Amino acid sequence: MVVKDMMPNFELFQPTQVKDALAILDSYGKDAWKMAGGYDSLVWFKERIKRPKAVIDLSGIAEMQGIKETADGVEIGALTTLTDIENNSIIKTKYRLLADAVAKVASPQIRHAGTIGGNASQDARCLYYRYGLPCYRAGGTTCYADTPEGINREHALFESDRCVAVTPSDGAPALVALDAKYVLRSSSGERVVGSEEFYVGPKIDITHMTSTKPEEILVAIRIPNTWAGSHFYFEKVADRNVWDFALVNVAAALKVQNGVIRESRIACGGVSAVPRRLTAVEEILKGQPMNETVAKLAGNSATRGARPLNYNGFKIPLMANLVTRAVRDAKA
Amino acid sequence: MSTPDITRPDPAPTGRVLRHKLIDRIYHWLMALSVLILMATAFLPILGWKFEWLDLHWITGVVLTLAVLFHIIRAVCWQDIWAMFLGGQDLRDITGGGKPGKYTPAQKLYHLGVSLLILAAIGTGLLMLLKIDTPWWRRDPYWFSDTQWGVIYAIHGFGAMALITMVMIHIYFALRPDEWRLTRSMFRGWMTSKEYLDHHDPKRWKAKEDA
Repeated sequence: MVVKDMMPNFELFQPTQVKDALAILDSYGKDAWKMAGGYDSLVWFKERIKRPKAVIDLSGIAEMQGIKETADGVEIGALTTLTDIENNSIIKTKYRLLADAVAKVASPQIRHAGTIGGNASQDARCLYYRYGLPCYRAGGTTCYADTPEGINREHALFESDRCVAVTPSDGAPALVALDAKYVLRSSSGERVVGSEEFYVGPKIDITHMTSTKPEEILVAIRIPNTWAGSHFYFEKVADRNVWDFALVNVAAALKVQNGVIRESRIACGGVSAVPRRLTAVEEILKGQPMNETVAKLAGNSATRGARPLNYNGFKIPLMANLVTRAVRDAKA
Repeated sequence: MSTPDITRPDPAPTGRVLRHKLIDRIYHWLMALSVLILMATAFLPILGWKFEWLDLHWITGVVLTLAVLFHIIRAVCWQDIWAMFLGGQDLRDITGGGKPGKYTPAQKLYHLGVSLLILAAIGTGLLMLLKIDTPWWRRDPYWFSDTQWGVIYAIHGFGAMALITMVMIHIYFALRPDEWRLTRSMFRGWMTSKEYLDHHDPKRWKAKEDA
């Protein structure tokens, strides 16, 4: 039973430096909760489903905020708000895909406080999981969504393994398409991982969406120059135009020369637990003209291998059409 | 052609007797490999090694189930099934220090324990297959109530945990120099006639000469 009255007690820490936050993480271990913008965290707490002993409010750490150009591309502090990313001139001119994606997140109020780190790492929105049922993702032994009676309209088409929840993030597919790297810091050092390693599906770890370890903090996201100024396309389809999670979204980056696609990176959200990179489509597109026929071929190829559940079959044509539009309509 | 009578006391026996046929050795090692894979895929992810364990786990579980079925049918139809059960003579051996037949009372007790644990793990594991998609069916967790599933998971977990101890005991004794003749026989099938006569009662285990 979900109780939505008030938050249970926890120790609140508000460090101003990463090293202090890491020290607190080390002392509390798995009992600590890392909070950035707080939009996801506070709901979990109010519903008493997540009950950490200590909450580390990272929002006061200046080092983790802001956008700076580097020799290799751009580095975005994990606490940079989605609004700041949407309005940043570097992002808008070179990596418009990300600006377009974060502009579609939730509502303006949420984007003012929500951070790119939180958005990229956000937890699944499966209604059974969120309701506090002891499902696989919650550490239990059942998936309530993928049953003969389960309501699974928003759930996965691909790569589900017991848990059929999907990534709800709009920013994540854009980051995958831009080949972003994730900077994870712990008191024992720093590691930088690509999207393939950062996002984990239920086959690997059924209770987490990312490979961030309990003792690590996502401090920054680096986007390389590789795709700067490419042709981009982002589209999100949800039940409402604002303040809703994607049923399916698509993020595409294409390098186009004289109307021919030289290279591409395309990812879809809302179809699997991780942003699904469409590597087969990318291969098909290599060297092909950017036209309606090729776009349709890309769309049809994108959904190959999809396994719909009882109520999410509509996502297959939706995903195919979104990929078709992405390939056909991507603009520099 | 008559089989040489190797049960007759020989002052310097130099021959070999067959302890495990090839088919039984293959079964043993298949089961050993299956159990080790099942334990690795069950416990390593809990210990922090993240990998795709589920398919390997359930497929290995099905292999183990088939192997155990084969073993039971073979033991019932083609082998002396009572050779592995504890009886009154075993109790007298424990107190009186007599030589055992093919298996010692401790081995029979160990076999009984492992059998119960593996059957418990297999039985509950097969039920747990209802909760995952396989090539034969789509999952449906509503075959049992949450409480019943809880009992099934508890039995499966207990069986798996207890098997760790049993495997450790088994490997420990297999590696002990004084038990090496048994370990060797599980690799090569035979033990020497001297070992046979020193450690076993030929009246209770009429071994055949190794071909």
